[in-house]
Amino acid sequence: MNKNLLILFFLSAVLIPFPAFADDDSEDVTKNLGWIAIGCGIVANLPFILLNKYRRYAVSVGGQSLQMARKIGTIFKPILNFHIMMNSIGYFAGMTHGMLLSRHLDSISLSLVITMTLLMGSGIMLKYSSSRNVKLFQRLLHGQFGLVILLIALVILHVLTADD
Amino acid sequence: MKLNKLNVFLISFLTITIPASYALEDLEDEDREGFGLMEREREHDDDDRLAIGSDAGNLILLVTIGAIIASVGFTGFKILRTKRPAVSKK
Repeated sequence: MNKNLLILFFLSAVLIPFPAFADDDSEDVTKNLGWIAIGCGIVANLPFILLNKYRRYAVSVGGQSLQMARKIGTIFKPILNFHIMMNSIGYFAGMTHGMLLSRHLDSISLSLVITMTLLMGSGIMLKYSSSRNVKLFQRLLHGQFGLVILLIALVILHVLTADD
Repeated sequence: MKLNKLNVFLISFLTITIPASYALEDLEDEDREGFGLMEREREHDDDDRLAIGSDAGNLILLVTIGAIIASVGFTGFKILRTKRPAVSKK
């Protein structure tokens, strides 16, 4: 029942017409869309990263924290699903946006495509691969601090240069 | 509450493609009315600064590719470093 309600909610969200597009003449609209996308990215990733870090910390410390880590374990799966869903939407939205506006392709957009595809690919491999070594490699690659910083920098640069 | 894995990707795909079809309709309207091309050319005069092939553009691409190669290399090195002692002990 709950599952059907959730699917119905997402399908109804699909049918809501978008009031603005990134190719509109107004500079504010373009930038606001970019900041909304960044906000969605923060909502999708920050809770998951914080929960993951806290869980690792709690396991390493032990004692009372370990009990807390076990409690957190119960909400870990839904937050992971939310992280995957939001990032999948973000990735496909980004790629569609890129294809629609491919005539304005610049180096920042191309760099963004490469970085996003690498992170999405490593995420998919991490989820669906059965090999232990591949999983280990993808887990380390998916959480690379340098790649995350690179992605954030490219997204912000892309928003700031949107009006050029 | 468990969502089927396929449903997640299906909903993601639908969420993206339906608004995209609205956007395509808008683009077609603009082309038919014949406006915007000259204005857009004027507005996007600065595009060349970051265009692929320009100095700044090449630098950004090089930094990105360099960071990716470094990350993949570092990850591989980390795995090899942790696995090597275990092999030598045997």
